[in-house]
Amino acid sequence: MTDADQMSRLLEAAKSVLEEDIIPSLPSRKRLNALLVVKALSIALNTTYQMVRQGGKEPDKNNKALSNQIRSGVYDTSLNGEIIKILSQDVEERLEASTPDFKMHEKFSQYVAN
Amino acid sequence: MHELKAETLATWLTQKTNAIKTEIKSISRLNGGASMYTWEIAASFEGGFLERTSRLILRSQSDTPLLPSIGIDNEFQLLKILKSKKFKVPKPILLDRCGFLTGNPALIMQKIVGSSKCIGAVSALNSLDRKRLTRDIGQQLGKLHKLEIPSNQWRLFKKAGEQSLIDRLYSQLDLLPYSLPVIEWALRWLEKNRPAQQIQSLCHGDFRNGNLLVHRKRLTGIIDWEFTHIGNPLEDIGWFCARCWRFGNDKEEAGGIGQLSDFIESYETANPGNVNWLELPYWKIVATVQWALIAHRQGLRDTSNRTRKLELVLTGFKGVQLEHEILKLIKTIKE
Repeated sequence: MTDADQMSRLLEAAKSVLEEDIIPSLPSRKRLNALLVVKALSIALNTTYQMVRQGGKEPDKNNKALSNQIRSGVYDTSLNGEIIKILSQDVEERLEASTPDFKMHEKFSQYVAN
Repeated sequence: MHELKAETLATWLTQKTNAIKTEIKSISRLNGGASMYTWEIAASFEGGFLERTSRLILRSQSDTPLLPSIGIDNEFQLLKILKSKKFKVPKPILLDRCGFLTGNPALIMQKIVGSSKCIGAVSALNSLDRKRLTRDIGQQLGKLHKLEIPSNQWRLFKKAGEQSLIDRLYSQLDLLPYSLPVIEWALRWLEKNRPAQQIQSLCHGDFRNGNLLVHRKRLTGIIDWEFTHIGNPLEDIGWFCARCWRFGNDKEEAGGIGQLSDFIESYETANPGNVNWLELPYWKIVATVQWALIAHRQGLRDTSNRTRKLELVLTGFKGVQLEHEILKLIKTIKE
């Protein structure tokens, strides 16, 4: 079992205790906070699932180099070209890792800290 | 964490309002405001100019106000101007410039009846209610964008307008400790596709459903004026209409509340021919980029309040959702 596997199991167990044993008995004013914790655990869990799929390694990224190229105008003549595919792939992977449910229905939720 | 003590507040209010006695019945901390702390106060006054007032709101600046914030003092002056022009804003009452009450400058205003949980509140509304509410909002925003500010009061808002919007967004991107190629690309796209027409008006700076108070199905107040600045009026409209602020009510393009056509009609009645509505898709992209940058930044902010910290970190995860939305929006324009 890899570290990522073990981490997934730990988070799954913690989330299930929280959802099934703790939240139902909480007063409503505390329930919203607890649901935020569930959301946080879900994000962490999705990231570990992705790490399991990738053999425990984080995907290698070179975002800084790409950002520098964009700012220096390398893609100016084709801003609507191939670059979109590269960027979309990166975003899809990050969405899959953090909030895959957003990919399904693409709806923005209301919890915001601002 | 900033504290507001009932005893200190009662003494200060008694002195400032010329009351004989002030009794603080309750103080509750409210959420809201990017860099402000807000409290609701229930008080009763014996004598003085607040004798009939019972519900007050106190807004205090934080130790680290966000850069575009105009500050408490200017917000107080602005509310006075807006109230005198009959805008639906809270009536400003007192200013604590020295930070006697909370340690930082604060303003006290009258509480407006209504809820900022606008989307929840409108879910029970029928189409006619939605239409009326949307028209209320369009009328107020059109009126705001038409407001002429006397030249001696422009100093209140110059700060935010010194740098162009795109430059400001680049500065915010550069403050992040990691790179975001999608935002970099979107800013480049916005630069290359900048609309030719550059009009300026007073902008609220955070005009979205969370800052609108609704009571009995009508708009009762517009709050949180800390980011007011001189800018393109479509900046406010794009922010209000961007899908990321509709919280799932995607068919109601005007802030998740009503139809865009109703909003435009009432805005145009209040302020005819001011904006080119064909530019709205561009400004919705600006709004989404802006919110993506804020979300990423919020995710990195620290606070001693555990629940608040969790909210901030979760908001950080919205960043990638917003990047996904930006790609979609620009691809749609391209097609």
